[in-house]
Amino acid sequence: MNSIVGKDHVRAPRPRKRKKIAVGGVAAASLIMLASCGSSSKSASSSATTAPAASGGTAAPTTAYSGPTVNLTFWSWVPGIAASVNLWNQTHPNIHVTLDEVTSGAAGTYAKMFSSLQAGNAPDLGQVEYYALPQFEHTGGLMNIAPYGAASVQSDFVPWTWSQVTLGSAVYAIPQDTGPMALFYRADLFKKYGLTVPTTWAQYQADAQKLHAANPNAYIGAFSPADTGQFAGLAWQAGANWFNTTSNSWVVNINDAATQKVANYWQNLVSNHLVKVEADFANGWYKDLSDGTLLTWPSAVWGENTIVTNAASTSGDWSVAPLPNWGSTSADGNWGGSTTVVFKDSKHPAQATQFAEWLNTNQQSITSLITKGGLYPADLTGEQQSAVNSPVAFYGNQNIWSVFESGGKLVNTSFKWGPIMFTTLTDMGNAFSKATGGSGTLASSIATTQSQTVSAMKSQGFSVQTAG
Amino acid sequence: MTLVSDANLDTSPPSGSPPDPPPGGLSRRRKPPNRSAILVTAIMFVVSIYFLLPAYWLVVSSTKGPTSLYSSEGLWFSHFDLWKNLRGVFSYNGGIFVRWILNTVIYAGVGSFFATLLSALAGYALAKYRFKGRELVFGIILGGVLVPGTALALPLYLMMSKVHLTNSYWSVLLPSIVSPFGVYLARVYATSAVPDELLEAARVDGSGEGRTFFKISMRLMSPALVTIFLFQFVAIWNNFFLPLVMLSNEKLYPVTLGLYTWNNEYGQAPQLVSYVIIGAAISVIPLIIAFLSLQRFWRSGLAAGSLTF
Amino acid sequence: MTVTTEVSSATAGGVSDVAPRPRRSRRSSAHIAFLAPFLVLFLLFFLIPIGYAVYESLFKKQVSGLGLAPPTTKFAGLSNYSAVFGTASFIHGIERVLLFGIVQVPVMLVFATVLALLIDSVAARFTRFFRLAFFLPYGIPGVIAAILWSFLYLPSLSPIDSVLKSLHFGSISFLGAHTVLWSIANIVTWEYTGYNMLIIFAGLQAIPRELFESARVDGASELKIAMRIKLPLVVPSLVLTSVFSIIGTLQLFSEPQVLRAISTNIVSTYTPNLSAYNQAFTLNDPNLAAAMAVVLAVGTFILSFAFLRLTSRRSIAR
Repeated sequence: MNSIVGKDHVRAPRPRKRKKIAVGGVAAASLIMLASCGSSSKSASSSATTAPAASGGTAAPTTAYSGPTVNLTFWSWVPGIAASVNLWNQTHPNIHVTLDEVTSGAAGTYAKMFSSLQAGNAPDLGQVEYYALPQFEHTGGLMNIAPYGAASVQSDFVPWTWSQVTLGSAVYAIPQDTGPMALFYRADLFKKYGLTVPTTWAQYQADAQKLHAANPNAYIGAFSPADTGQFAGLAWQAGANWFNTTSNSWVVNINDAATQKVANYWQNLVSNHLVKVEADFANGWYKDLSDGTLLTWPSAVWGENTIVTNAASTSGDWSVAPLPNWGSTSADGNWGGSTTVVFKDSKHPAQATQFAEWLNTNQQSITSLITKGGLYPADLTGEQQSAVNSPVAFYGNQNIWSVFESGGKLVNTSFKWGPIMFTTLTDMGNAFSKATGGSGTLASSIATTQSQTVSAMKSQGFSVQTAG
Repeated sequence: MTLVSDANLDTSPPSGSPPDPPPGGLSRRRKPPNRSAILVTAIMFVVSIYFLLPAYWLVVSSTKGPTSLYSSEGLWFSHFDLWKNLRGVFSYNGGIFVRWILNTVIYAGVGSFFATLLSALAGYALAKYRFKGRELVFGIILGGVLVPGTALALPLYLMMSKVHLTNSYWSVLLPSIVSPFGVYLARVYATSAVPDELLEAARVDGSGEGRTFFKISMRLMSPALVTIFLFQFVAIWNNFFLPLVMLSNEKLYPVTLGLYTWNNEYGQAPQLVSYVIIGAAISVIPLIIAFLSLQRFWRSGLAAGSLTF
Repeated sequence: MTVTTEVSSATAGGVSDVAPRPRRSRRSSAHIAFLAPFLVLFLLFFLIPIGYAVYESLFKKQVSGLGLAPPTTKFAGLSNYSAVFGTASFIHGIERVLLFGIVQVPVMLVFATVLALLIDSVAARFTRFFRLAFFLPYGIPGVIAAILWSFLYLPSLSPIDSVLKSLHFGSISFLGAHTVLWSIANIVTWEYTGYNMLIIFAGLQAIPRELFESARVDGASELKIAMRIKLPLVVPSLVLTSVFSIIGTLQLFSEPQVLRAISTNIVSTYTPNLSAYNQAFTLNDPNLAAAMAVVLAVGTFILSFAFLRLTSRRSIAR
């Protein structure tokens, strides 16, 4: 039922992989936290409201709302987000936010959002991942919150995230967290097998061959065919531009040269048995991460916790390096992350916008989202918080965060998701599964996905061009 | 199969020994062991390993923590963490596992109770009253037996979301009350088990139709009712698709959906692997008790139902 | 429907008309009161959803241009159905469950019948224990069984694998592209053989023992008794278990859904039911999902109905 962990149906980019202190306990836990903080938390948080600029950079307009009490509903699946909501409710007596803790988007919540949008009873606010945003935008489900001052927080956020939430001058969401990618690797085993930490994908492949020759039972990494989120991040890094828009039509270019390059590269690794084909986020994969079968994992910042949690015995063995590059240009990809949106039927868009901005720029709220929800903030000030900017003992006291922070700055800002991303990614995952199962190749899967997406878009009425 | 015929050669007394008393029902002749008995028993023993081994693995594994689960021999005990697992499964996330079990008992218990009652009423009416359109109504209900429940779940979801009934106890409970097979079984059983003369006598005595049903007929139909109850109980207990489609609030989950969710979440909390395993073992116990304690009833009901299908 | 009703009324015997005159009016309304609660719910949760699914399947959401305006719902005629039948992956899913059914259902039922006959045979010992042992898996819900077996299939964890390896049989990939379907079949067989065995066994128990006794006196072997007397008499039980197995096969969902997490060879369209679920819940196309559900329901109905018709002809001929 959850996409958080990667057994979701869409295999879409994952928001995060951290402890999901599951839903029921969250409210209780946060209540305890607030209670134990006692009166001091109250005064601290009230100062946070009156002066959001102090904590969140150039934050939202500070004009306090003083009309009759407004009630907002908010659907989210981020563990521990109730703590942030409670903090807001304590400090904003006139704008009450009711949190509905739902299952993750791809596990059915998106479908429920769409059906409630159609029925006209959608919540005011919701959690939506980046890749899903266009699908909501292009069915008219989201409120343009630019008129309510949303554009004023642009400079608070990592640049690429802002281009993901805007369309022309319209703003459709406030970024929450990101998943810049890097290479997790077993420093101890690299030394043992005499491998060099790869800076390019060519070196990564050379390492793979050297390793395979030394130990046929060890692999440089795994390829999980259904995990299109990872593949999308790697294509993103290689310079892919899957979707674009002209003034009145979509340009679909999934089968572009960059994506073909990435597909062929991994196909070569798969065909030569240099990577292990297996489902990620499953117990076999965890075991392989723990016992030295897998030496690297190209993953996002939240992967840090996946390793800590599931390969606890390897403490001190892992390090993080920038994602290997294609040739000499430095670029990074992103895997996961989500936003806060205001749905089109909200009767209080101004107040909803204010909450969305506060949630993702207020430093107390961000601290809570980092520690309880395991999010890596999209807020630039938030990235400097000590919880995500200090050495980690598990990783041999490396400050792994700085690798991700500089990676985030190299993420291509012009990459766009398409309007039927669920279909695109599902088709891609199915084709990849077939390819690794023996019918077709990853490259032909990409071509298939391109044509399937185009015909699905056309049948829904979109006007579509294909780039030459 | 030759084994069985061998059995005959050895066991059927050609002469001399007095014929066995006619074996009735379950009571079975006990004979001294012989070659064919040993062979048949050996075969069944081997087969039972197939059925029991995974359950045995479940029991063994529920005594292991997440680390020894991966590192130790699957079929034998390792570091004994049973109590730790038990405490964990019942306390994790505010003890939500207990709530899932209770939910399941509510869904299965209440659902199958009403399913049985409604099926009994409808089956009885179809068996004991002649009215226009009776065969048509029965035919349509029988057609319902052939429509898969999961094919219905999606349309039900679409429909219920229009009236905002999804994500509630009702969304799982109400559809579970409808059991066309139960009606079929009740009708077949009532036809043979409730004599018309008895009903007529009751009427002569001035008993109302409803009173007759509850005081007399239901008692006569009880083996069938137990069968319907148990099978509906299991059907609801096992149902995964309907709650998966309908529910998004964890607090409303039945134990199947809850454990499935945990099974997908252990990447975030490795101890969940052990909780899933011990939770699975625990969730099976009530069902087995129900079947064992009621088996005398439901078997006869089942025999009647299947023989006349 | 006529066939089914014929079967049932033929075998269940003419349904007795409740005697003559007295208080006709009161009684004639009693059956309505008895039937009403079931029929109301049957209507609400069986017939109306089917009707609603058919209705929804005739519409389609349409956008235009970049699609910035909310989609409009348009009457689409049968285009969703042509899309369902034109989607190769859905058709593959159907072929897959049919292949599964053709192999797994007979294997399971033969297995169940043999076990029932063995338990019923005079040579059997410890029958209570064996009945329970065979039946136990049925008490384990499908999802849980799938989770349980997923541990047993996982290469790095599987005790089966380690036993095979230690016996030098080499290692089996339970989750490979060509094996995973049969691994699912094994789970289903494990779960339901005992249940089917019990239905058949209940049928065997209901046969009057005198039939065997006289055959035995006539010198018939146990095998002959099993094949000539017992088997024909449990045909109705076999029909029942077959129909339920066919229905179950076509709705295959939880086992592949659970195994998807650990196998790279189960796509989101692996079975028709998985397709329909994903169409509704991840691809957000309830209209197409409704069409799939209708196709699935009608297909299942036709198949099981055809099976009943076939078998009832035979039993009538007999």
